[in-house]
Amino acid sequence: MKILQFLSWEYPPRIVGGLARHVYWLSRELARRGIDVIVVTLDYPGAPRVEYVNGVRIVRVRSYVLPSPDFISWVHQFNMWMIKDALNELHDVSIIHAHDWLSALSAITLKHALRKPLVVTMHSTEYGRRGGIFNDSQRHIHEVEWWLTYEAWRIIVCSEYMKREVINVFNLPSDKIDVIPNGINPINLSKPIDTIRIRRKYAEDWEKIVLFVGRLVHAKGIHIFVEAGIDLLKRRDDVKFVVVGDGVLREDMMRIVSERGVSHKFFFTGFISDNDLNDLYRVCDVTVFPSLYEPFGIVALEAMSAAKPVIVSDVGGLSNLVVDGFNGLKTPPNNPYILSRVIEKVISDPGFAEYLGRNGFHHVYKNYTWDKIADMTLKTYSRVMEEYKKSSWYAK
Amino acid sequence: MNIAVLTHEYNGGIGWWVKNEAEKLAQHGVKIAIIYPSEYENITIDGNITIYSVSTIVKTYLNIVVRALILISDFTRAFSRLVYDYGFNFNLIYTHEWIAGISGVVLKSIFNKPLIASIYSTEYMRSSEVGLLQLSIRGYEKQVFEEANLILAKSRNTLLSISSDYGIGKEKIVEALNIDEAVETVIKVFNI
Repeated sequence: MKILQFLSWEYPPRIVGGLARHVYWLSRELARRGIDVIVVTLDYPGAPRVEYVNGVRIVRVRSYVLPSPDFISWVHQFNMWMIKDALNELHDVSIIHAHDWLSALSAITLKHALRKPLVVTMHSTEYGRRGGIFNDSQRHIHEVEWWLTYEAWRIIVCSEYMKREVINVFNLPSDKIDVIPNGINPINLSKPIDTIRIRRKYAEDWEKIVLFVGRLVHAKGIHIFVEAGIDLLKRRDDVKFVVVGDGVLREDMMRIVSERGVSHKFFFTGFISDNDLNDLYRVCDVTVFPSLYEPFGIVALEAMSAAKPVIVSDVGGLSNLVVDGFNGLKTPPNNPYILSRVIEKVISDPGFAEYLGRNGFHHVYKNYTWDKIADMTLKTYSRVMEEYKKSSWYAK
Repeated sequence: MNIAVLTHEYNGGIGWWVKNEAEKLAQHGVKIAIIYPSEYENITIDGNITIYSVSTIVKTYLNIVVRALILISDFTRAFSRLVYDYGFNFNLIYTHEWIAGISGVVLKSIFNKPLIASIYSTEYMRSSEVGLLQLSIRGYEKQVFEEANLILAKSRNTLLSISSDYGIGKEKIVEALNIDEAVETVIKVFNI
């Protein structure tokens, strides 16, 4: 296999969400196996137009050329530049690999222009993100997603939950879909850290640190976390709730804890660096991910890799990651009172917390390193190429 | 000589023009493929004229810019099928208005064929508003004008607008007020 082309609107240093990291690590692992990989992505101030990063050829195209009346118009416009500006790089590609609807237009166009097979990773769906389709913007994105999955030779999703979702939402045949989890870079536990100093940045020495990491939006259940914290504080005082991340609900959450007189027990950090987050994972006592919608749940894996107990809501990808009582605990979604009891159970029993953390740690190393994810992805590529070579497109 | 004609509509005034112009070019031995978006996918071959109605999966558009951009993929699919499955060896890409024109710009890049842009009016002529939508359309129009090898302006005012409002050199703009003038210009410029 000569060249794989990734179409992704984000790639470091342009980082909007988890997609940039996903493409960065997967392309790097594939390049390490001798695959020629080209990533076509958007420009970023200071980043070179073309460069090699860990053996991966990065081509950055213009993202703001013409005025756009709205976000969707802008997305399709930069897809046009992805085709035009990167075309010379693409004639030898074996497979086009696109991520989400944001690169749909360029991916589908190049598939037909070059007559190459298209692999699509659906990280989430508009239907899932919104809990339905309620307006024309969402309907357009939903239709583009449907179109992209229709045009794909094979579709990759990150969990069994997402597989069910794309089957239901797009009426896809199940045998067109491969489940390949997201990978993570396990936290380096051998790196020495000053535990006391780090802990004191967030909590008193006598307080247990209960950690939430994620965007502060409804889907991530930050309001459940806050409510569970307030409930737990009625029974014990030796806890500190640390919230990492930002989002539209941050102001509301800060107002609620202030009105309830417990603002000193919540620490909203906003965005913090990866290093600081890794340190925080290592010094906390328990991590909580009470999402209402979660295609995968990479933060839970990060916490597991730090050998910390995780408590997740029993939804989506989180439900697939956690074996209840073995490598974490599951709680019913949208129930802060049960959640507060489960948090209490873990922080009251250090032996049990350690047992969960240890099992989670081994679970991550066994299943979710990028090394393993790259192997699984290569299997999908090989299958696609095998089928493609028997098709009429290959002969032409 | 094979010409791919891209139009966002195959009815009304543009449709009438496209159909009659294709018939005239066909009389000169030119093989024409007219590609237009439709509810269904269908190819009809009648002598030198092939009509390809290309189905569009996306039905919901927020504005005409999104519609035009989505068409890039639909037109490319049709163009590619005609090349690879029907043996068309296109020498020219001929687009009507900016909506199909931006697909022409992309197809020109991919297949390295000259582009003719047939322009009936410009956004400056159609609208005096200066919202983001109008600015966006003007930007796409300019892109089409800059990339086109030949621009057929369908009125004197259109020619002047393309030249003065968009800064396009008059040497590649030809005023073609009727089908005969357009056909004659295409034959002359491209040595058909």
